Amino acid sequence: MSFEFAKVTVGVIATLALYSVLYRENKFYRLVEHIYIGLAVGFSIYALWKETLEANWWNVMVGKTEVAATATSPAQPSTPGYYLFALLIPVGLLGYTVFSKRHNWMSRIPIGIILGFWGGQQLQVFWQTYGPQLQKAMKPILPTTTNSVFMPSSVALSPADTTSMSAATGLTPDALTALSHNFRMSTDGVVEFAKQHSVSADSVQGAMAAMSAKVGQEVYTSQAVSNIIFLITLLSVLTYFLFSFEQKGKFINGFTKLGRWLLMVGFGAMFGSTVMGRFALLIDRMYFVVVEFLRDGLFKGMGG
Amino acid sequence: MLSFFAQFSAPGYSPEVFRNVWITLIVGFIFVAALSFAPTKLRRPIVWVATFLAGLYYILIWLWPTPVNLTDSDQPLGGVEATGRWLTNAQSGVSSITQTLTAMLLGLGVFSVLRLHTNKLMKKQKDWAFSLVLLLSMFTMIAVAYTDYYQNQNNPKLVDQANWGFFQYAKDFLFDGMLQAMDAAMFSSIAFFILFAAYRAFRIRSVESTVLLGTALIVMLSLMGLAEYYLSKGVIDRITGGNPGHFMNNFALAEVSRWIETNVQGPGIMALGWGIGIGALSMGLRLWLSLEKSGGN
Amino acid sequence: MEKLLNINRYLMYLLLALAVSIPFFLPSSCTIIPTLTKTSTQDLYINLMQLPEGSTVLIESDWTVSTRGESAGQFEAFLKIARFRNLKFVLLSGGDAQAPQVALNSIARLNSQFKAAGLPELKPWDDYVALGLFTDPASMWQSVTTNFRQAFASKTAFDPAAGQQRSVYESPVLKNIKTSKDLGMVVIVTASASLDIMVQRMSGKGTKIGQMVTGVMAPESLIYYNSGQVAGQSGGLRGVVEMETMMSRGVNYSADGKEPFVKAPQFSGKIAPLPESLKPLDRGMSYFASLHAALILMIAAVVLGNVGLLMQKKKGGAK
Repeated sequence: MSFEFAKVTVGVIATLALYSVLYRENKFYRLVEHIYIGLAVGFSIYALWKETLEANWWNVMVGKTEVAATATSPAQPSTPGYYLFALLIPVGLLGYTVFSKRHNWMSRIPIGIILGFWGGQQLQVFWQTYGPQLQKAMKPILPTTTNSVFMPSSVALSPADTTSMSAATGLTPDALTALSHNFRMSTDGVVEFAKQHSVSADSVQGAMAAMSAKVGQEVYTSQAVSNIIFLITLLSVLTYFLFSFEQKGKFINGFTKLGRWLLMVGFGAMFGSTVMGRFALLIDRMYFVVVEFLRDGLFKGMGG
Repeated sequence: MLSFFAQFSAPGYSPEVFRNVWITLIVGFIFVAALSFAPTKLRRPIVWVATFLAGLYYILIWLWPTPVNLTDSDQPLGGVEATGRWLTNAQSGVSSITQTLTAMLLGLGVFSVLRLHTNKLMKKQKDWAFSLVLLLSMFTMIAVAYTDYYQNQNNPKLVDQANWGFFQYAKDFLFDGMLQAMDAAMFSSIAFFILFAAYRAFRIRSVESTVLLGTALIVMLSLMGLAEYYLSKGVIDRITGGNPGHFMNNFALAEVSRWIETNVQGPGIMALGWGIGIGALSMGLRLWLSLEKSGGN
Repeated sequence: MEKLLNINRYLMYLLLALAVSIPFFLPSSCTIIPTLTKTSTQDLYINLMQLPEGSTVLIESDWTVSTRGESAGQFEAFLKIARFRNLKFVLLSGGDAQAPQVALNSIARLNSQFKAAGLPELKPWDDYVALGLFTDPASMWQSVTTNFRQAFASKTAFDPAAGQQRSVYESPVLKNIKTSKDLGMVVIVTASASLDIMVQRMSGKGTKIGQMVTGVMAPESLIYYNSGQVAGQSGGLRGVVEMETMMSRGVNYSADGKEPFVKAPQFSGKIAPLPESLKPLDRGMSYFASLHAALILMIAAVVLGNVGLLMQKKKGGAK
């Protein structure tokens, strides 16, 4: 049996043991569950030293000696040892007084330091997180044009637009006018148009992008309606969670009810996405059992 | 490194640094021992000072003017620039301190598990055999992983699997073969419960549940690439004749689900986030200023 | 009708296990599913593919095998792009003690794939440096933005040419990076709230951020994308499939002059597909048919439960 196959086999046995709880709790499940916790805790102890404490504490505290240059590498200068970092041991160990009835107040010192660092960052974090979101939530709710309800596929070009687009893309004013009647075309349409007007497909694409950008500067009724829905959702959900004052009156009650419904739309979407996430984990595990173990391992005779 | 700590440094790995580490440790433990005799009314202020000073650093580094383009060789002009530079230089030292303290406090959880199961084993309580298995697994993992790490430090060639010895195989077996497989199995089993719970409880009983169900179904359909592709490209393209400018393109499944995502789901979650953010901010300030009533008594 | 409301739980478990397993046996021609790509995923991919060759990306890998179904595909998609574009990367973790080892195992898996395809492997020190776990990622990110050259001052890595441990700042990956603004991009592959910690400290500081998150996190983290705090997002298994679709079909790209499969109107350029040797369609697409089957089963279960309830109500049995 190869090492890789042995690893997969043990993984499959463990998987089946843990899945056996789907039927009912049993000794096999509990045995593997305890092995799992033991291994996880053991690995955490190892990782805390190897990944964090060694580099961030030990090496800083004791420093490093100078390494002389060799034929392949330059000299490594020594780094000093900041021995005051040794104080972190007694301070850190204060956390363990939580198990002492008499001295457990002292555990709040290291926890307080960590919480203090966290608390001090919150002002900065708040503006950094929600500032840009507040800014983006300020959307225009009035249409700037009534020419079309939806974003149109045609655009009225002014003589100045035609001149600048013609200079930028190489299309003649006539071609631009023809294109302005429908500037959203499929690739086949673009090729056909380019052939008709003896220009390159890329320049047609460029003109289409310019027209699209011009149209995109306007707020159309459909976009304004979407923006209003966005704002209503935001405000009604916020109102639903306002507990600082009593929510009285028909309007406020109706608005918070709407907030609850709209929140359900959000939760529904989150549910769909969560289901995908959870199923993806199961699919991966079944892939491990069915493909990696059975198909590619056992049946291919890899284990031989 | 933190200029404050530079005053307390010695050549790396020298007998001097180790001697000073020991002295610092002894002083530290004496200080802790003295602290344990602090009168009750002083306890809260001690915790308050420690918390406040820690938080003050991050408040200052955010609000204090930082010198622009000040290189290491430049002399700061005045106290404001000097303080700004000190705060900036202190950041990596502060980071090392918080990494270390957090790691030590994470050890509390480990210690708690160890204490619980050792007690169970010593007192031969119910299911003590499982505790024995847990402790055995834990110590095996620690022994194997540290030995592997030690060997790797002394022989970098062990990174290559072709040069592996017993401990490298053992660590890979325990970590990749067992721990990771168990971790994955544990989390994946939730999918079974979700399916059955949705079948039993996801019912149209009110407006709220109907809205939730309707949206969930649209989103689940849109997550299926095939369904979304054919309900967008297939059906809608047949109606529009493949014209990208056609009005009906707005009703393709992909467009509808994106619209919900942007205009209803997004602001709903955003509003929730703002509420949580304000809560975190007020909690942060209360903790920093030790306004929490239960702190330090 | 009663039966509709009382399907045995074990039968449902079995059906789910079968539904996700059977598609693994379908021929690959049936499991390559045409998938539309979201603008958020397009932006992530375009940003990564537009990075100048040799750029350094800082990637936070905060996933373990518990979310391999989603996160491994995302991490490996990044590694393939890094290989193709010759990007260098700094690998670190801020959420889980197991995450650094899992990321290294994932690199090893891809390296064996690259080796088999005759491609150069991703080499530690030259192509990437692994900085391990930061138990307090908040202060680490704070250091990255305020004083980059000191943020990882205590970290060393093995330089194979020199035969010794050296400061990571001397590696080809970091030697030219003076501040966080010199980084090509910061990418996070995560299954936890470490995303918030990073975005809260890195956004708006002059470095583009890309997020690769699990399905559970995708809706809430999309807010960061919508508000411009991050440059792109890949969410869950569907996000992996979208990344793989772009890797295999390109963006605004068509070899035969026909309609490009992936059209990104917000991007004026073209991106060609990745070479077949990089296996652009990998983990995501292998699982996608199973996801379809599972979601169909889910929808059927919900519909069945509600039909049963409605029938019961009609009969007057429900309160």
